[in-house]
Parts: sequence; structure tokens; C-alpha cells
Amino acid sequence: MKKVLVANRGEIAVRVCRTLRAMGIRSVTVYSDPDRGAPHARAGDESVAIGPAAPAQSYLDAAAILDAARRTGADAIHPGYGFLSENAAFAAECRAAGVVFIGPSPESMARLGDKSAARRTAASAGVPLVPGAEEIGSAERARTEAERVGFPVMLKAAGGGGGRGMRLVRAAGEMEAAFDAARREAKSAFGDDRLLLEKYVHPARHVEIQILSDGREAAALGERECSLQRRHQKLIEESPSVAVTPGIRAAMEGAAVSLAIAAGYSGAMTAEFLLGRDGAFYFLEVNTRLQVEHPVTEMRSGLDLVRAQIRIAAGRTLAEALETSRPELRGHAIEARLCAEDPYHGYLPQTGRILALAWHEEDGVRVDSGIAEGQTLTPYYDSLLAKVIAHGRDREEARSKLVRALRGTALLGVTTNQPFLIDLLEDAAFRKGETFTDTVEARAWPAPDGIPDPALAAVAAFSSAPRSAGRADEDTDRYSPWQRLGAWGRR
Amino acid sequence: MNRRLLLRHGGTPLALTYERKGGRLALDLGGRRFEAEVTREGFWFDVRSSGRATRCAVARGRRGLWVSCEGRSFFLEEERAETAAKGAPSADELRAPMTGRVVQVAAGPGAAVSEGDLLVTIEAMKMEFRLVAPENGVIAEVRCEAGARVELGDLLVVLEPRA
Repeated sequence: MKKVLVANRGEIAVRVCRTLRAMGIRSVTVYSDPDRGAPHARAGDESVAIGPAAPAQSYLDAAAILDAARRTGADAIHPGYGFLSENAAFAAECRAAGVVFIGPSPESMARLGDKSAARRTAASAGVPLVPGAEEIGSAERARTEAERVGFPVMLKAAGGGGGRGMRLVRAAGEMEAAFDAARREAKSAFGDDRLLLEKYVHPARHVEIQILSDGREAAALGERECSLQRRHQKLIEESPSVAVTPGIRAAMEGAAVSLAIAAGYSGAMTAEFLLGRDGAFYFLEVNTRLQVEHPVTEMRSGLDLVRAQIRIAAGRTLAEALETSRPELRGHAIEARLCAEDPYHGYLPQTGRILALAWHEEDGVRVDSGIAEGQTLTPYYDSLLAKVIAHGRDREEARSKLVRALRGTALLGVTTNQPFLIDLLEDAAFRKGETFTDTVEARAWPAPDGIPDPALAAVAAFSSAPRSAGRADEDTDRYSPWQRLGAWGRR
Repeated sequence: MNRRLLLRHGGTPLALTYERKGGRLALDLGGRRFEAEVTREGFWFDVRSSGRATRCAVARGRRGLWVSCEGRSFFLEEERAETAAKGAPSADELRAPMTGRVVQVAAGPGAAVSEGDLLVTIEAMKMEFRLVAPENGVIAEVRCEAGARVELGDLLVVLEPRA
């Protein structure tokens, strides 16, 4: 592999380029019109414009991406996460075009990526499933199945994730409306209105196992707990999970490995489970790609999962890809997702210009960022700006380090969930490890009231420096001096 | 108290009056008084107040000021800024408005200058920019010299205003 095209944007494209550079492989990034000049568009050795803002005409446009690969002579494509990463048809097109898709084969993707198919594969591999049923064709059938497993139940789209096409149904009377709504949403989001039904396990933790596999042999790299979510999207992830005992870990890892082997899976894979209070766990789904939260595992293992993916895609064995006979997991790692959203007003996505940006630097703190000072955040894509990950000898050390890193980060010009992440990490429930999938949404999280005195003092000091009345030029604002150009300025 | 800032946070007006002497500020927010010592580095402001050191960052956007303090950010709309006529003057810092080259330094330390007097001339992109005194005062410090290259935000001159 001499040149790899990164078919993604933002922090993950920047992160993949970093590994490519370290491996001495040339990199190509792609960008849509509004992403021209964005950090990821400058992260590779070459960069190709692939179309307008709409994902369907740029980052999801398989033809445009394959064309960019052809034009730049890339011999492989790394899809990152999201976009085309779990699209079996795209993986097949890459194969047909003679370009290596850095990920599993279209066949194993189809066997594991589709929720219904994954449930069947899991059942035949002896992996415990949440009680439920696949291919629910009518509200009536859904009601019958729900009564069999017991309310409340979850309706889910078979063909996709991300919280869309998902409905919690608490009683038989709600079924018809919920069924219709989930089906409509699934149809419009994934072009696929197949639904499945699962018993709603509650309270539960979201625990997932990281797998690396070469198609014949699979290694489990421990778990990540990702229970803290809003709108079925993760906010904070950690490893190890306080609730996973050695026995539970061995059982979950065994289940995940047997799924990978059953599907002849090659590459990085994650098997997601729900873990109940009683220690019982159930298979949820498989992600046939690199996960957003993969750095948590990297911080504990010292592995570079992107490097391992690339080596496996290049035909190396698992042992060669791991470059060690037995990867060891050390200490505790926690990741926080910094998003351009207002946590105190319905997580509304935020846009604007980043006026000032500075990250906290400390041993054991890693920042995977896709943003830069002066960049304008557009409304077209995911709100994830960066991930801040801290590693410590134990959970408390990692937690306090991550809080320090978030407190020491300055991002001005756009509202983010930064204070909310600090609140979550400082909360008594998190400190005690009492984290469940409904912890975030079951409670009210008040916005900080009042502006702290030091902030007011800083504003006063800023304002008393010479200011320009004539020009409000954001480029020079961060140094503020020119804020009174009328007085200090040209005459 | 010689300066007043009329700000708005989430629709709530904030009337902040303050007096500044160098890095020392005496502040008054709606009758509640507190003091702070502030040093600045780019957009960072290190604030010492009530015996506690805190790092804040401030930047001006198109619609107002953004300030962040220990990971919490606030957006403050500026209603208007006023400077009262009387009261003790505070030091003003003249900083480079752009990266460029100093062509001329027109006044030395200790010099008394009047509002509008030329202090420094900077050249950038083949254009000269004249930096003048914002008010009457005495030059406390000159931090640049003719011919020197300066970066955006570099401190050039400190002026101690006189009423």
C-alpha cells in the first residue's frame, strides 16, 4: 500500500492521516465545498474536491470518491466511521475497481452490519440475545411479540442506527402509533423500513468489545463502557468498565470473538452489548468499522488500531498486525466528545466561527481534533469537533486528568458541550461509576448560573485595552489591541 | 470607578464598572465589589482574585464578547461601552494590529503625549499604518524599535493616561 485515500472528514480524517504519515504511506483527503480549507482537507499529502455540501453529493457519493482515488492513484480507501464505512455495496465497488477497502469484506459486512442478520449470526454463534423478534411486519405482530417478551420494548430499524427509526414502547396501546412512526423514520433514513423488536433492558449499561481479526483468528482488546448518551449518541466512553468483572469480560470477549469468526471477519470490529444490573448481558449489534471511541482502547493498549487495520487490509496476519504476541491493557482511559451543541437547550447544534482555540497539554492526555482557530463551523455535518482522552493508572486519575484537560481548553466563538462534559465527569453518579444508558436524559442538568468573577475581570481587562470603534474585525480581535483603531489607528 | 461596561448575558443586563491601574482591577457588579489582578498573554488572561488563580480566555466576535473560564464559556452582548470623564486613569497597551515591520517609533519613555499624537508607524503589505495615542498621557514603556518585525498582538507601547 503506497497511497491511501481517506473518505471522511473532521477529526477522524485527520487522525487517519497521522497514522499514514507515521507508516510512510502517502495520504489523500477529500473535501466538500464548505470544507475547503478545513483542517482535514490540509491533513493529507494531497486533497481532492468531491462535491457540494450535501453528503449524498460528496462524502456519501461512492462514484465521486472512487473517481478521486483513480485520479490520485490511491491503491486503498480508509472509510473512517459513518458515511460509507458500513456500506457493503461501496466495499464491493472498491473491490471491483481494484482499490483495497480498509475494512471487512462486503460479505462479512452484510452478515454483521444488518441488525436482523447480526441477530441471526449471533444466535447461531451462541451469543445471548435480548429477547425479541426480527422482521416485524405489522403493528399487530409487534404487539403479540411484545406481550410474549413483556413491555416495555424497543422497536428498531434493521437497516441502520444512530437512534433513527427507534421507538420505546411502554404499553400495548402505544404500539400502533410507535410502529408507524418508526417505520416511516427508518424508510426515510435508510431506505429500508424493516423493523425488529427487543425487550427494553433497563437499567442497563452499554458495554462493547473491541475486536481485531484477520478472518481466521480474532483478538479481543477489552471493553469500553459507553453508557452516558444523549439521543442514543455517546458522550463519554471509558475502559475498563467498573461493572465488568473478569468473568463477564471473558464471556463477552468470547461472544465477540465467535461473532467475528462466524462471519470470517477481517479488520477492526466492535460488538455492542447491554449489561444489566444482575450481570446478565445481551448482544445489541456489531459495528463493522473503526469506532469513534477507539482511542480509549489505544490509550490502554498502546496499539494504533488504524495501523493494525491497514496491516490486516494489506494481507498481514493478526499476529503481524498486532506486532506483539499478547497486547496488554494498562490503567484506565476515559474519552469525552466535544460537540458544537448547546447542552442546556435541547442539544441544539451550533455554528459559527472559532475565534480562539487552545487545548490542554499534559502527559496522558490526547486530543483528536478536526478544528482550527479561524474556522467557520457549518451546519452540514455531525457536531463532533474533537475528542479529549485521558489515561491514568486508575479511574480517578484518568477522570481528574480529563476534567483538568477540559477545564484547560479554550474554545471561543461557538457554544459547545464543554461545560456539560465537565458536569458529567464531576457528578457523584459518574464518580461512583453509576452510569446507565438513561443517566443523562433521566435528569435535569441546569445551566451554570451567573458569570464567575474572574471571567468578568478578564472581560474588563480585555475591554480596557485600546479598542477599535471603526472596525470589528474578528481576525485581529483575539489580540484585541485594535479594538479602538479610531483612536489608536490610522489618521 | 471610571469605566463602565454594559453587557447582556442571555437577555439579562449586566452593569459592570471597574477601575484599572496596570494589571490591577477594582470591579463593581451591581454594588458587589471585588478586586482582581490580571496578566495577559494573547487571548489568555490569568486572573488572581480572592486568593485564587484562574485562567480565562476572551475574544471578540461580530456580535459581542466570548469569555471562557475553566471550561465554561459565556457569550456577552455589548450594549455599549462608556468611559466616565473623571476618575483615575489606567494604563493602555498599544499592540500590533497586524504582522509587519516597525518603520518609526515617534515617542520615547517618559514623553508626554496628547490624544492623536503619532506613536508608532508599522508597515505591512506595502501600506503604512499610523498608531496614535488614544488619550493624553505619558509613555511608560516602549517595547519595539524601528526596523523590527512584529507579530500580530505584540505589545508595542504602554501609555499611562493623564486626565
